Amino acid sequence: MLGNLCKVAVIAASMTVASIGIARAADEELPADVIAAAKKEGKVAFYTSFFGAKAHLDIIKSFEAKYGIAVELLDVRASEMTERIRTEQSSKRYIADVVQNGAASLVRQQREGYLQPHGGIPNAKNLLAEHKETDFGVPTYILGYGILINKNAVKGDDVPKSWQDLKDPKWKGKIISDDPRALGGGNVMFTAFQDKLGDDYNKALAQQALVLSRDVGNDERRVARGEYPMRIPQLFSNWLALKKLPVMFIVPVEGLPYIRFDFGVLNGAPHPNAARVFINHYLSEQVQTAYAAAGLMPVVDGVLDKAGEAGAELKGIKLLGTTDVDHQNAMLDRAKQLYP
Amino acid sequence: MTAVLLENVSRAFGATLAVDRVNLKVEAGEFLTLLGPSGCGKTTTLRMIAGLEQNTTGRITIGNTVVSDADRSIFVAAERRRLGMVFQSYAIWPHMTVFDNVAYPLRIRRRPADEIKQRVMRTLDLVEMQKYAERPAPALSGGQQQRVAIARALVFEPEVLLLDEPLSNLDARLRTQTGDEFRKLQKRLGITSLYVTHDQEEAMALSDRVVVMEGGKILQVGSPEEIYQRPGSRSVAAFFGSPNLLDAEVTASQPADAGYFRLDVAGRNWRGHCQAASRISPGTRVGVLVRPECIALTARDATADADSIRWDGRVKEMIFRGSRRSIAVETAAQVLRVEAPSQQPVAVGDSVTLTTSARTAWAIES
Amino acid sequence: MSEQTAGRLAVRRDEGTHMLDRLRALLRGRNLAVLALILLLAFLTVYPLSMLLYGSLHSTPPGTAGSFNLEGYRQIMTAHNAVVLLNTIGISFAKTIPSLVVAIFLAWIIARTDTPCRGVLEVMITLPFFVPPILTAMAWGMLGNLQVGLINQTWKAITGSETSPINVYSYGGVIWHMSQYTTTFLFLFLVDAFRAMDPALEEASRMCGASRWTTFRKITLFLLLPVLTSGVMLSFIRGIESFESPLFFGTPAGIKVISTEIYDLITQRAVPEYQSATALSFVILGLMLLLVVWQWTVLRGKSFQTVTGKGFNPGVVRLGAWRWATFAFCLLFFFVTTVLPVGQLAVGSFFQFFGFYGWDMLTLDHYRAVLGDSEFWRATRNTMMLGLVGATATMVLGSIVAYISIRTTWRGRRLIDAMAWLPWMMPGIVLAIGFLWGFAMLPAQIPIYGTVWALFLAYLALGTPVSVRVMSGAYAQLSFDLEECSRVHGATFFQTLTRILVALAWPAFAVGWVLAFFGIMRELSASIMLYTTGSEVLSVVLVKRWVNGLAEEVSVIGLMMMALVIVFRWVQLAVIKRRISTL
Repeated sequence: MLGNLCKVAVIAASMTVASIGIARAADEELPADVIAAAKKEGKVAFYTSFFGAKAHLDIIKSFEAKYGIAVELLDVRASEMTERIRTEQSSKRYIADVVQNGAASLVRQQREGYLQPHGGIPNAKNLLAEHKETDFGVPTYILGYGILINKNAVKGDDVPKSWQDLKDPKWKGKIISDDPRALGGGNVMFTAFQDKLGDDYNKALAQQALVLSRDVGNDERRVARGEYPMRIPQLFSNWLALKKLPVMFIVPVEGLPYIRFDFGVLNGAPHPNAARVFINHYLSEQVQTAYAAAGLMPVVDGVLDKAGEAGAELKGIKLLGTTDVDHQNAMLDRAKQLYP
Repeated sequence: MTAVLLENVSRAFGATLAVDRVNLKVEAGEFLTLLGPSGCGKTTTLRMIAGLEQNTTGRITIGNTVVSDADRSIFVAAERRRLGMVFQSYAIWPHMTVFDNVAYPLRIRRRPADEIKQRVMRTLDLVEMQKYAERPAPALSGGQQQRVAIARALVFEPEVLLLDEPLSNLDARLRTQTGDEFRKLQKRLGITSLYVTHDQEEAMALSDRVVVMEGGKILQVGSPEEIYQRPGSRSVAAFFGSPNLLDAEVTASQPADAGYFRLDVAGRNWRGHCQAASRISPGTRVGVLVRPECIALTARDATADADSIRWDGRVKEMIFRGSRRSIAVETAAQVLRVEAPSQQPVAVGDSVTLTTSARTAWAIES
Repeated sequence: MSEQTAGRLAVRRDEGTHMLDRLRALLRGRNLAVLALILLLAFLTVYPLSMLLYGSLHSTPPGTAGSFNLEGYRQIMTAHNAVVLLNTIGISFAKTIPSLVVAIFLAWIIARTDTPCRGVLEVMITLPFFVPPILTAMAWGMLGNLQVGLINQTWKAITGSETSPINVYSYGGVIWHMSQYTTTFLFLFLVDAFRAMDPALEEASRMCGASRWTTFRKITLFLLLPVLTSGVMLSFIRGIESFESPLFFGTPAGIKVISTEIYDLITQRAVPEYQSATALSFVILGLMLLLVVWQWTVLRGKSFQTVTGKGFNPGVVRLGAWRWATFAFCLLFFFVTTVLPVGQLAVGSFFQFFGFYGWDMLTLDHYRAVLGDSEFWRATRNTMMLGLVGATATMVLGSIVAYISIRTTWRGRRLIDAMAWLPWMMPGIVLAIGFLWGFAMLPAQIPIYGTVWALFLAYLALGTPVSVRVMSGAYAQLSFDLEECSRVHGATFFQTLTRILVALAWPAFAVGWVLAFFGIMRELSASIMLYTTGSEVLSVVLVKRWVNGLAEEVSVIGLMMMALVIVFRWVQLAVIKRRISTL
């Protein structure tokens, strides 16, 4: 489920910063000895909580084709991946090399001591200023959340332009929302509102009698079928698949709540060099463009123009806010107070 | 009074006719056995009387009530025919005690508790199972289960009792003993009983009358003696033991006592008299039935009286069975089987003479 | 019974010292075999549970430093959880009772009446059990929502009414959705028990003057007691652990049950709260153990041997004109539980989006996407392999456990039976964690985690409760004579077991096998915790697509699974029919 929200969040991040016309620096490879060692290791085990995304497969193929290093992909849902990695680390059965996780969760894993420093990723020089790497974590893409409306039910002036428009009494009981009391898109949105729009805004929204659900894919369809006129928070990348339906993605003026996904290298990784080459590949122009085309916001500059329709839509989108590792529990608790 | 009357009763399963136009009267108080090989329709007949199967043609009357009439679409459900029935598997309910099993029919009839207790204990006493009343049913041996099944069938005093091979699951000794006990009980209570079995000894030992069935049809109805000694057909004859059937030609036929006829017959290398159920014109070929136990075996050349049939031959095989000897004798006519007393000194290869009384030889029209 | 057995034993001893020696040898071998079985079951069930117990008593999960305390239990002892628990029990009751009534009725129709086309009806009735719950949930969501649900629209169109009578996002919806699975499950459980019963037991009752209905109440139901209580318990327990229905239909309506609370504790917190989640699960397990004890007391001291050595045709009730009514009832059940939801999925799978039907939306893309996906084929291959091997192993293990617990008086048989129960009493999502911890914490020399063995062993453990229940019910009906006869004729324990199995209990074995196979096919919680690259399974592939909003592709896979079910069931029933007619 977390995978779902992650998916969406990516889109928005780079937009704020993306300034057209600045040529990005060219891709850079790791030193030849690292690549040789990586090839000798022969494979890399890649764990991601971006569950079931089809974008993984083509990108992995491009990596395997380029370096001749096999990728073993394991994608599970966020809580399951967290526990699998914890179990592998504490039982010292090291299988995973690279983990891709929400930024806050990755920081938590780093604090638990599950990560080792990645040792330098050459392509990180291209990262946007707001999304710089640390010794342990390397940003990969951003999922952004907006509003999904049913075009037949919400027309003309009714179409919301700002998050504030959702407070209008006419929407009472009409908005279906991902549950803010649970880790996932709903709480990412709640956190961003709390930080940027204030506690009063969340209180007002709670008065709107949101219908809380956790079945993202089905909820999107329910809006399309007209069961509800509006759904929040809606992942941009999911919206791409819904374009033929009578729905519309709305970017409120304040910007999109988002989640960034970061890479880390695990302790005891059996293929550490391959892991580095793998991460570096993911920051290449080719991969970042592929992400953007799939509706995930790239974390490097200058690829949106090449990313077709989705890239064009992502351009200029502002980001509102995201979760923070130290405040996650407080935010979940506050949500439970407002939505008893 | 007729207790059970079957008129033209048939039962078809799809295209096969399991019971074919059966007509049968069962007298009140009678013990009647339906006998035949498996698949002969005897169980189906019983189940039609019980109401567990519906006859496709004909009419069944129990007492004065028509319980089933295919033409008039009358069909009284099994539970309303008030019959007792004992099943081959006994059908003792394993989740109840002996008492509960036997009390069931009374409870269904909503009798008061003290009456139930009294009648159940009386019936259990009848089958000598009183002391097992509180036992769970599965803790009984086969013979005990059988008694409980009988008690359950008798407890509400039905007019007719139906028994479907009730002894077949018991071992040989117990079977004879239980059968005898049951026959005594039946006579004492005077209850009309319809009994199904494939065991001819059982049938003969218990019944007032035996109904021999084959292929869904009744072959013969009669007392056990009649059926055994004067079978109406080769099939009936063959169903009891392994009789000797000798080919012969009738040379003369005249009435004898008891409504039978006395025939002069001639076989291959032998001639003599025998009895028959009807006048048979001279020249007709018949089978002459001679039961192995009715043949006397003596040393060669012993003289035989005029009313006997006589064959000479040589002992071909001999099996000592303790109480008797089974002997096969090669004669000019054919190999004859003889059951002789076990004390009789005889050895394979001996030349012997066989004689049988003309009164025990029985002609069957081919 | 014991007296009789003792008597028989005594007879055997009399047969000479030669026999006695053989008996002694058998006893020695037997103790070893029982010990081995206990160890295997302990590894499969007790070991993962003990990991979870540790988790519930320790501030951190196994492998991470922390301290022992009772925080987990203290935290869950809240008024809120008590209400949720009562809610859960209520829902489970509410779905079990009507399902049981309908299942008994259906089983009776199929096994004991002359209703037309019973062979086909039987396959049709059992289909709903094999449809992945998320698919039917989606379909019912489309049929029964307040705003644009098909049923409500039809109702409004016919009556001109403005109100919508049906809302699946409610208690009723949760119960309704669960009932479809429970009814079919109970039906599968019951139908062979109905078939295997000696009809003379019922006929005897009718000859005693009891009507059909009285006979049914006083005899038939009691004879089916072992199967009924097992079935009710299994479905009640499953009801308490049931997850999909409350998540799908309950959450939007604010309905909370234990399983969604546990799900919350594990997946919806910044750091999963395993201590509370496992503690909550153990409280549930304790309650369920009470149920098992209840079943033991109900059945104690009673015997239910209703199948004798004599071959017979199950007594068929001729219903006359009523058989069309029963026929119609079966069809209605099939229509409501299968045609309505699955028909919608089948139609929808040919359109780009469910619920948007226009010529321009017609497409085969979903089929192309699924069939062209190498991961799908790899998962299919893995699942088939794990399913075939796993279901067979599960049934063999279940047969042995059931045999020992029902048909012998060996020491340790109660223990074996109880151990085989355990996996059923843990919510799947928690037990999956137990497997993960258990397999990972083994000594480094035993590499189960990270291999396909982890899946196999987990499936074996998860399937055993059902296989034991199915086989126990079948064995309990067989008369002892049958196997004593076999033993007396010189067959060994295993020969007897297989002979009895093959000859008499095999319809139950076959049903259990199909249940186990599709149990494996549907299992998600443990699969997603234990699968590795290369050992993907269908349930994971399915949920990946679901989470990514590819409901149409999920339907394609679901429909293929249903086709497989139909083939399996058909073959199975055809074989049963042939066997019965040759009896």
